[in-house]
Amino acid sequence: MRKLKLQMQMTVDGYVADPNGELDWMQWDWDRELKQYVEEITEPVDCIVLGRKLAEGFIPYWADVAEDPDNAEHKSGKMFTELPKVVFSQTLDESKWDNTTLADGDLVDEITKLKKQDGGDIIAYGGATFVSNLIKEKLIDEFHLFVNPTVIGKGMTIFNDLDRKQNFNLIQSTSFDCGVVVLKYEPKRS
Amino acid sequence: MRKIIYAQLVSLDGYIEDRDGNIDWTEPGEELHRHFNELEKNVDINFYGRRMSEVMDYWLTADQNTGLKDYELEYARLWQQTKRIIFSKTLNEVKGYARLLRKVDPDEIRELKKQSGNDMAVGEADLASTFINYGLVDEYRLYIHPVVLGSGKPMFSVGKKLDFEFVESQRFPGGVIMLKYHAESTAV
Repeated sequence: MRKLKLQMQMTVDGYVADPNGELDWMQWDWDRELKQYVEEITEPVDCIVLGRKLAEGFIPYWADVAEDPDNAEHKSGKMFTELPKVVFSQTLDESKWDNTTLADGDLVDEITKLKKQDGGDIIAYGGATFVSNLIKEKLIDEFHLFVNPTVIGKGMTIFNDLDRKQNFNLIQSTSFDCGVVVLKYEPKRS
Repeated sequence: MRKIIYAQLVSLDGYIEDRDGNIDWTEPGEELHRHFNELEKNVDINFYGRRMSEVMDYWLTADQNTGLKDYELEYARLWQQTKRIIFSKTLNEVKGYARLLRKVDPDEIRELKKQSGNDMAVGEADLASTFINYGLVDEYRLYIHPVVLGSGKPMFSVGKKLDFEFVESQRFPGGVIMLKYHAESTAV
């Protein structure tokens, strides 16, 4: 079965975005090793799953970056644009984006179906609501949480929908010069 | 200048107690206990609010309990020798090597920092918020446990943005990871 990975920025106080969904608080100045870390977890990925809200911003944004060879993130833009994407939505009728299909069924069924297909790793980047649901349903196999050196006081979370605790195994912790610490966890399956 | 340290055992989602006030998910093992003993050796003053001081009073007589492990006994003795400053409007007396103050006077705390001595630690979330808002906390240590609780008492409830400088991390058995940060600028 394919693996569903999560890559998400987090504050020291456990938020993944400010109350408006913004990431201004993020440590933007990534050092080379952190970029390499991301390259390594992205390399085996051949599918991105997204919630509709994030998709509405993410897909056009990276499509524009992909069109602009002068953009510093051009390579990422091309990668995100070319990777097959699945947008989870019960309100959209059809996908308005290239390389993108819609999933409108039950979240557990749709993700399980994807995992059973042949292919590489699947990755999720957000949004907060979509990821909260993935976590609640225990669908994520590997967490890469990028802990940024800041407390923001309030914002969006991915763990607050839980009505009972979940245990994890810490697989690895990596500190980077730019101040970000990446914590890699797998869920503890009983 | 002496540092004020705010350290907590915390869940991955930032809570120090679950919604029922339990900390049974923390279970510090021997290595973490010994680590806290070392920390306690380098702390001259523990700042507590009333609630935490009442919980910690357990250590006043814990060493009389022969069932304790050697590292717990060591902690009891170290803790008893560390001065406590307890902030409470309602308590009338405090036991052991302790002083009672009615409220946090930031100038008084800054004077303490200027004196020679080891570091000081603030042990309670609400008191820590007061200290943080006065710019008194210099170092943060999060002992992150591999569990998410969903809700509970947060480690940080200052409601404002704080920027930190990452110092170092240290891994403990049981998947606990300590992240140490310095406050970016201690406000005057």
